[in-house]
Amino acid sequence: MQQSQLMTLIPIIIGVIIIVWIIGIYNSLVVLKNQAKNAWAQIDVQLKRRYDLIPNLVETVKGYASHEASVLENVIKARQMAVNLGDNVKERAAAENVLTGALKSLFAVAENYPDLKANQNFMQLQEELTSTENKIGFARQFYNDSVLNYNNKKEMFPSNIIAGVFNFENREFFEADNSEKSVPQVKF
Amino acid sequence: MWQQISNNKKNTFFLIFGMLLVLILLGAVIGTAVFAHLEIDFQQKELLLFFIFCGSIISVIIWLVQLIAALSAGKKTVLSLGGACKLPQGTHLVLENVVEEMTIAAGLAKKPEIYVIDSSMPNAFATGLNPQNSAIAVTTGLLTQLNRDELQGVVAHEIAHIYNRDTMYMIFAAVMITSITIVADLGVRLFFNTGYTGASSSRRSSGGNSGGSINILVLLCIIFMILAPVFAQILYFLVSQKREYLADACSAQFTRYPQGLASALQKISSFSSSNQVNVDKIISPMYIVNPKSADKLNLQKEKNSSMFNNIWSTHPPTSKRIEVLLKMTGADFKAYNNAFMKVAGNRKPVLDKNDLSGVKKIDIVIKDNIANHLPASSLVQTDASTKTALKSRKSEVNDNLIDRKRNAEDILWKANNYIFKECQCGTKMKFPHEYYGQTIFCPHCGNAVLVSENQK
Repeated sequence: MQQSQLMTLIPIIIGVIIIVWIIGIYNSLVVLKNQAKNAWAQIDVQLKRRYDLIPNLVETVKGYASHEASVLENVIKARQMAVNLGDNVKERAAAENVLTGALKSLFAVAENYPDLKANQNFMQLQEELTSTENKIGFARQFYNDSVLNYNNKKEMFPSNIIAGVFNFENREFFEADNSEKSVPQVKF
Repeated sequence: MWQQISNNKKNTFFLIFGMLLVLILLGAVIGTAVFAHLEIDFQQKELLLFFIFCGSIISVIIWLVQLIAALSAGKKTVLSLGGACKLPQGTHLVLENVVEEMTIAAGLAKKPEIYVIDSSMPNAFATGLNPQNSAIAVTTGLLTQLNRDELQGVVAHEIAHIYNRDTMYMIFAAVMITSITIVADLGVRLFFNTGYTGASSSRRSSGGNSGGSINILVLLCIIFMILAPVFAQILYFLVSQKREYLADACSAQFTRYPQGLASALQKISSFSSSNQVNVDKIISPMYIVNPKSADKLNLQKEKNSSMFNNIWSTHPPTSKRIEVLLKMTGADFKAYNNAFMKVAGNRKPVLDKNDLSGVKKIDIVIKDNIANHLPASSLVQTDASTKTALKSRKSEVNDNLIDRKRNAEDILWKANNYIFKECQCGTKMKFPHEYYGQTIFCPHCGNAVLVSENQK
């Protein structure tokens, strides 16, 4: 009698342990996924902030350097392209990198206009944009770390089985532009 | 990164536990000494235990009172000791931005509050029991002397203190050390106020043999009382030096630009040795460079300094910190560790294995605004062409210095509710918000400027 009871109990206990274990892995996957999602939201906030700052910047620069139309147009075009994109990380990253490049050349051009450089409004916008650029960089670093953690967990055994069953998808890295990483020319 | 935080929490726990033991032991020793001093018969063991118990309880009560006071006041006490006032929003864009950037880089949930201290000496500190409830304070001198990259390095160092829970540790350790000092002081006073009369009466009443052993016991107790606070301080210093290195390593990692912090440290230390400003003794170890220590940037001198001197400072020698930062070949912890070992010679690495596990390689960001790093270039090899270029930009840098000084001072005016009004001639006038006149006269051109009502 006692033995048969034990025999029925053992599978139940094993079953409970397995279920708890699966729940644990599932939850940790969710935590990592949400962390990556939050990190992406942080990037998104900064990207939006940049879109808001650019029209102001273009207006200010126009007043001093109206014949640099092509540079200004590039910035406006790149912004427009980035704004219209959805949440696809890869496309978004490419568009944002174009925008970063366009802004860089705008600030490079601004170096030639001392009046513009001394303008209070321009200085403030430049600080804001530099800072936003930095924040995007730092947020990207944090996002990529989170994505790496999540993808690792998702691909490693045994959590990959559970990830497969519950359809967890790989997240994409937000890659920095390669030209951004290369050494810039120092000019005096 | 998480390992290192839990490691720090564990260390904090052990340190506090160790110091608490010292404190209880101190109370027990005082109890024993009082007992011995009162010349009660040693046969009465219960009474001896009672005295020991009373001593321990009293010291624990003193500790609890201190702890509760520190926990309820939190960062406010430290900030008020430093004479800090809160940064009014929108008064210093760069500082606010830099703090936000570093908050993002560290992945902290909440941006720390920013405070400003009116002092020409460049320095900064962080405080707070946890990252959700923390604050960073910088001096106006810091805002004046440092450029953006350097400021970022310093802020990253302070954020690292918050991120690593060093600020929590600082508060607990400060409570511990004050309690031990108070109890020891109490014990010593107890003896020197009553000791002599007691000793003379005892010699008369009791036999020489027992009196001698008791006196030795009392002497031992007094020695312990004097040594306990010293012991606590050494414990504290030993751990806090490592925390400074760790915060430097974190700063390099967050900013990916160790040169920024290196040149900031150089500016700060060359300033603090030449210009001493009143600083409270309790908060001085919290600053990024300890303002109390006469830490001159004399490489030769510091290399010869003995181990003994180093034990007595909460901060490692600044020149060594700078050297390590400049020798880094990457921005990650491993690079910091390698650089440290290169600078320190064969000494053991500064970061534990726990700190280094799971570290990925991070590259240093290369920046082309060399003109911003004029003073730092004395440590870095510079060729002739760079030097001439630097000279031509020197005047530009001086202009920046004046602008930054003005900006930093404006914060204090705005924090004190002064109203800013610009005249047509470009003169900026500041007057208190209690000013009741309708117009104000520009001291430069003599024009009357209207003081609008809605600005008040």
